[in-house]
Amino acid sequence: MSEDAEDLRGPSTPEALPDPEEHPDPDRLYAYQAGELTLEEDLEIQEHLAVCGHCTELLLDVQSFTAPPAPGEAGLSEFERAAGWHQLRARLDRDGFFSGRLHKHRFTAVAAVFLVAVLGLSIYSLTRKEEPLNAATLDPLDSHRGGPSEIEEVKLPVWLVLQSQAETSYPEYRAEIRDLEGRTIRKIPRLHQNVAFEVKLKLYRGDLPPGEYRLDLLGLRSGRPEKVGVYGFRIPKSE
Amino acid sequence: MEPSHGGGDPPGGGSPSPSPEDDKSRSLILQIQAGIDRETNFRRIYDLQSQRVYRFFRRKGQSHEDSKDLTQDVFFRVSRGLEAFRHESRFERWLIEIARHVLSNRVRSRKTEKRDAPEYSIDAIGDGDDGGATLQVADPGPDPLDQAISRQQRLALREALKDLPTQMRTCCGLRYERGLKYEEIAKLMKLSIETVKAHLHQGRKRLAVRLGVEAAPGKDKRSL
Repeated sequence: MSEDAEDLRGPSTPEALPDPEEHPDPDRLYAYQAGELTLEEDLEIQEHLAVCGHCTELLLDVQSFTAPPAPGEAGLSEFERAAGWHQLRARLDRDGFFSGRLHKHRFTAVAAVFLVAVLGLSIYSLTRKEEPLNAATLDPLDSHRGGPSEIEEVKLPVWLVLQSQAETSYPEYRAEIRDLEGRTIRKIPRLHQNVAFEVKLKLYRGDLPPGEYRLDLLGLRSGRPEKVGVYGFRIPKSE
Repeated sequence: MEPSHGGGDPPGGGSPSPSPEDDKSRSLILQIQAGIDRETNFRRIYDLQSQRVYRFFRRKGQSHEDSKDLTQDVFFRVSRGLEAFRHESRFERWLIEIARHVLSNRVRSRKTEKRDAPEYSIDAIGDGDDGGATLQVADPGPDPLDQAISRQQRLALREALKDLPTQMRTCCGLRYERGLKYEEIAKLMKLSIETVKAHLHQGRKRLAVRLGVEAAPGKDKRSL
């Protein structure tokens, strides 16, 4: 038989039938090429190759790429390779491959993380502010109205409505929340009395752990704090 | 019964995987991705792989100059995608995909250049006339009837191929449907050229009977 002889397909296969719609995973083709499949799997691949121009081409290209140089097959000379690198290097340099691009990627990554963090915090903050709030009205512990006040149990989130016995009003108030050991846990500045002579402040979920607290309400006049009243409340464990 | 799987030594058969070049390239990529001496490490990858890339293009019929250009394009694309390379597959596979892509782009752009190239009158060129009428011969394209006949023949051939044993069928399919050379079939099938020829010889006889045509004696002919 002669390699040059004409054959059934004709000289240039202009009218090859369409390839099958399904192809083996390219990794399987590489594994086939590398001799990593079983005999049965090899035969499956070969059957597919018989009718699939796409996979045949791919496999031929893989073989063409991986085959060692044939005797006498020319390659790039040392000089050509060095010259090629020189040109490529200039191109890569212009593209920023050696210097900036990595930093650019890092900067992009940092910026992305920052953006996500800001976005997350904004969403968190918005979510918190949208939480429905209960209201709990507290009388000062030293109130003389009908005996000592009870320690009110409040569930967060909550509006604390602080009733005041003071005869004078202050242009500004500050609340300081402390635990029973006297440690200040939270300070809430810039509070104001409303028309009903109440001072209202918000406590959000997670602002305070469960426990009993004391709240000192301080009135500020000319920047100087004066004690207005002490309030007590308890946050139950379920909170 | 099928002929034995290894009907002889595969000529230039399957390469071990992954190749030493691949292993080295991957470790160099890791260093580049870590920002370590990008230039030196990329140069090493280029030194390791550029010959293979260049030879690939030469084997695909590209000229020496074109193959050098295409090799540059491949490594430029590699540089662009290196940060995203995740080491889930062989570097070689990625490199081959890039090389194939670069080549198909080149072939496509060559076709476009040819299509868009101005056509000049043969007479005008001979006379040194830079304008005037052009000699344009319309490409008639394939005749629809010929196409239909050809398609019918191929469908008949594919049907006939189904009756052959697997390896013989594949050899005949690759030869008669895909137009591959013996050597290419041998490499694909991991068989010796002699085994491929034997399959084709037998297959051709059987196909001739099946298709109701007469095979030319001793020839691997289209007419059978």
